[in-house]
Amino acid sequence: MATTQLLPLELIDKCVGSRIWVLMKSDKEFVGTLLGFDDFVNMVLEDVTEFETKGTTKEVNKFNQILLNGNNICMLVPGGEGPAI
Amino acid sequence: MMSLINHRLRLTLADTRIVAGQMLAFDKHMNLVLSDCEEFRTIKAKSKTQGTKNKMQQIKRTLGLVILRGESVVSISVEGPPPTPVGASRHSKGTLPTGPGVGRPAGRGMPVAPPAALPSGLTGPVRGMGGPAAGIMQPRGSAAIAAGPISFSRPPPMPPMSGAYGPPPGFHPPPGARPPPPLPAGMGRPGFPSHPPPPPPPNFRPPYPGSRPPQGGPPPS
Repeated sequence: MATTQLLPLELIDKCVGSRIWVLMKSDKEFVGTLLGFDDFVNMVLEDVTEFETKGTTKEVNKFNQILLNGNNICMLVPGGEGPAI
Repeated sequence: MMSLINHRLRLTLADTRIVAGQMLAFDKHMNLVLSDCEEFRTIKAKSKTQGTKNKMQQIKRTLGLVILRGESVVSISVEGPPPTPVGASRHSKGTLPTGPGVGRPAGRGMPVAPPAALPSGLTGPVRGMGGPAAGIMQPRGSAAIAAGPISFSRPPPMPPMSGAYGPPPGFHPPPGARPPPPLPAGMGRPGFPSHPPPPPPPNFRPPYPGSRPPQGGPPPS
């Protein structure tokens, strides 16, 4: 059982190079191409779109490349296309 | 945690969000992999129609496969057992559960033996060379067991005897049980007056020496 199951970090490792949806502990979310990550799950993302929900309004920002601090990451959705706007 | 794997869990996160999903994996940080994940957020939304009164509004989103950072997990509760389709797909690679049926070869008089085994069993050892090889003397375990005992049906019942006397067909009286040959006519026993024998009944054919007594049944086939 333990050998067949894929550990969470192994699953993130499989996502390198593909699109990923990152949900932060706050109401911020990022969608981008995962270039790499480290043991703290700090991540480098490319072609990033940031979504921030402030009450009922939503803000959208775009970045070419970002280094995301893993301390504030809550959830990762592999292959995610981001929230429906 | 290991007993909760594949269960459907409901997790409360540090920012009061609630996520529900089937837990596929976890690690020492309580990072989780959740499938079919849904997120619930209860937010205070200002209702425009009711002025300043706050209204609790629950927003549900479907996220799908999720990696959840263990740091943000506050509490876990079991929402339900592992969904059955997942369990069924896990067993699909293996064998089906055994049913009550049993497969047996239907022998028709001959044991189901591989043809190659017959010559080795039929050809005996060379004369004067001792016994056959050990392999030949072994019972043909797989073939014999697979064939099973040969069951014969009951023999057909005996045909009814025709007539009130006589041995059944196929009955041979033992030697010595033959009736003595009749005395030649005109020869009486010593000391007895010679009388002609009484006339035979009609259709009587006297047996001649060496013949069997007349039999009552039909001739044996």
